[in-house]
Amino acid sequence: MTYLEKFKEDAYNCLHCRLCTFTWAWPNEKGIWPKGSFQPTCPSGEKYKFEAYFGGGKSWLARAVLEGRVDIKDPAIVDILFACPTCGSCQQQCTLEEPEVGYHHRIMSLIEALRADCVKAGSGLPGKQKAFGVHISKEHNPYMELHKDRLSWLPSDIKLPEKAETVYYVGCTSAYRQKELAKATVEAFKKANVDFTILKDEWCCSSPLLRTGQWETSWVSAKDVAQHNVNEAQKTGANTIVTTCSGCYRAWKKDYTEEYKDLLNANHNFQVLHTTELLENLLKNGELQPKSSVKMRVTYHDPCHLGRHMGTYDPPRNLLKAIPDIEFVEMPRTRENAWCCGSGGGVKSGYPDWAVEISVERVKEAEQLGVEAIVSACPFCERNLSDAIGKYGSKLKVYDVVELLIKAL
Amino acid sequence: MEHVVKALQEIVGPENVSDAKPICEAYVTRAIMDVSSKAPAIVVRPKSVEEIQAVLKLANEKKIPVVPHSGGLSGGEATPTREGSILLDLRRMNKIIEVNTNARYMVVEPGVTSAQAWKHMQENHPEYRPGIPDGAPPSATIVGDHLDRGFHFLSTKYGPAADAVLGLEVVLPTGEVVRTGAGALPTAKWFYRWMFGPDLTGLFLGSQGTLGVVTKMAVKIFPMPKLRDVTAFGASDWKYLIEPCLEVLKTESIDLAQGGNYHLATTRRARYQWPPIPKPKVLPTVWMNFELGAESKEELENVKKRINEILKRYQSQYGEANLFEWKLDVRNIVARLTKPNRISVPYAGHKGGGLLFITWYMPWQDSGTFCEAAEKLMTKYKVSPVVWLAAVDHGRQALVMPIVLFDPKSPEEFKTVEALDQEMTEQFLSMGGIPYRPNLKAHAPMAMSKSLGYYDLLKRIKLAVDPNGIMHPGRLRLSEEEEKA
Repeated sequence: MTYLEKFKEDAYNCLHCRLCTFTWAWPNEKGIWPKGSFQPTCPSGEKYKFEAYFGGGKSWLARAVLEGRVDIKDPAIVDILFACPTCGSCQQQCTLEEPEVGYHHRIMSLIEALRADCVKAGSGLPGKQKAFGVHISKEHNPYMELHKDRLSWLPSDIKLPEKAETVYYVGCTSAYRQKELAKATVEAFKKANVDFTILKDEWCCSSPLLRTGQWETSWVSAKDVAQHNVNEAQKTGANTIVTTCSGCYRAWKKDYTEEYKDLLNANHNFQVLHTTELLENLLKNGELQPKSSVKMRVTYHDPCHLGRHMGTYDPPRNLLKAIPDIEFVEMPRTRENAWCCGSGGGVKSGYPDWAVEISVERVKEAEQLGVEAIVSACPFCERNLSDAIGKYGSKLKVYDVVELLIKAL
Repeated sequence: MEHVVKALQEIVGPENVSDAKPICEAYVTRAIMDVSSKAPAIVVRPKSVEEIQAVLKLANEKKIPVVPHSGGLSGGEATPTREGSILLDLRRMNKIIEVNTNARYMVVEPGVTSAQAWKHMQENHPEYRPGIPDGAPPSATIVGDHLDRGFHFLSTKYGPAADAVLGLEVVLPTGEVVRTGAGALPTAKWFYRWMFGPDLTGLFLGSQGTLGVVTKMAVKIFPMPKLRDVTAFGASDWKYLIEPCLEVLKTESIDLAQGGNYHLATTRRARYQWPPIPKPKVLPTVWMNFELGAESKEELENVKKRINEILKRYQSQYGEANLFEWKLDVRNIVARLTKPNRISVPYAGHKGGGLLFITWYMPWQDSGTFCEAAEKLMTKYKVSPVVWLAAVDHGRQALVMPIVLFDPKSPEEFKTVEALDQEMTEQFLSMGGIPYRPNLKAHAPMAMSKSLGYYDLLKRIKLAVDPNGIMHPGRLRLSEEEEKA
């Protein structure tokens, strides 16, 4: 039994209409289609161009695999499956759905299952993907860093309780790469008097493993990783998990409890919030009051794992709009139609140059608005957008919403 | 094939050629216009006319089949019927070359999609609109739809999409480039479909890629009316719908007339229920929408008034229970009038994915009989009897399209679809219909064999234009060898 078998319906449901290849933003009252409509939406398809790289082509490729016409070990399948940030835009644009029975075409799941079959067959995992899988099993992070340094960003004057209502799940990117975001988050929580703590022994959330098909391998077990985190969180007596990273957010909220519930056996009853959701709640309750002026024209980049994967679009925008003097403008491809930053789905480790190339397109889109900064709500996006700005020589700045908010508190 | 791949790489660059199995298999589509579809052996992505010329010369020399493929929205029809073919993925050629709002045409390359053309016009020439397909996704290309004689959203008024073609640039199978229509003269614009002699533009329209590769197409653009609306007739049976609609169509004031039976609406949510779910109260058994466009309120009201007078006249004959105005809610009207539309694939949903359009042309006054016959035949095969009906050229012709839904996971259901198609073809040919886009197994051989000299002439033309038979072999069965097969 292959992993793909579970998604056979999805492989066969694709009619090959190619709606998955471009954005769809409805026209206004006068029937004028906005700038963001009918725009390129699939980073993989736009780069490699052959049909196999688009969502529909992958569905028909899955049929060929199921019918035995394509061998999952064929070396040519590796780039088709892995050179894709699994941004979910193809699935977003696809109109195959039956809301009455809760069905929507699952191209993303199909791709991840194909990846897992590929890995199981001893193939796949381009670039450093296997290396980070191995490292997660040893040091519990994909960044080749030491586990003992995970909390090195935490200011020494911050003392956290063993038990608290809320766990701030920091995530590997904030812990090792975007440390300023981790500090800003803690500062914001302190200012808002959030009763929170951090896991004593936090491990990678397992998202990088799930996204790259490293589900059950001889070198790492996504199940062990996920179960460890849930057990650690339960020790704190908390009822809420808050993440700044959109990938961790999806893992805790969707992968542990729904999508990979059977595989991970790490179901839990925690309320899972993204930082922006928690801060928005505090804002609404008056417990957070941004008062200082931040004079800046900014735009917002929707992280795929927060937006399309989880449907969270408004909290980060509402926080930005609450900051005095911020001028907020939307990019043409926004919300459900947002162009991916290029770092997800294993692309940053598998195809690092291309990951930045994808992000450059987003930076250029933001630049056309005459903004000073591009703001996001995910450290992984923040990092890749920063890399793109460096490579492209843009004057744009990149912030996380929390980093801007803290300036106003 | 390795040496062929190398030669192709030299023509278009290594990044635009692939013979990798996973790449080739992703082009297969056993649906939409045909369920016969094979993976190509090589995919080539040319960028220019010169590259296509070189590819076709090579293919001719090596006698390798070539299949042109722009948006791929014809499904099985736009993919090879033979093993070992080269598929030309034309999506890199996606330039809008010219828009002329005085002679009212646009010239496009084969990769220009409906969405791209629509948006280009909206942003640059909002007073005009391109003829884009109604019911196909906006990923369908302008060239593909016009070349395939598609149904566009003004086909009721102006005829099939092919009627709007004003000229072509084609790379012939032997590698020469020809232009048809006024554009054939380098000093002339693309304003007129004809040159001296016969209509050579028409030669390529409907040829399904068997006579060459279209690299440019000039198509008419149409005025965007200031006001638009939709009105609809509902009826208890086809026999009460057809004649009143014909009277409306004879006013020659309708932009688009299309409708169907209630299964068209319910099957989206009720797939594979057998027998089909009963008719919901809110839907008529059969209906016809009339999309209207006008420059003023007065003009719009006048058209509606004429339609209403026809309705009243027939109601007095048939009774109001059998023929009535079907009041559409605002959401329905907005959805109908939003172009490009997104309603293309509602039937390929949950637990299935198999969809085949079997489309037939006939005179409008016979269309009700065809719809009824289609429903009976589909019911006999236990296929949901989904039937769509549309008027072409003010109702001089009708399009009856049984939409066959099946489970592509089941080889038995493929056989059922083919058997249904075979029996329907026999019956519809005897009733005087003609297949819209003749498919490989049923339509082409049966319709061709009955034609009066037409098939022989077509085969002679094919032989003259494509002596080695490299262009999309199998389609239209245009060689003796294919006939025997």
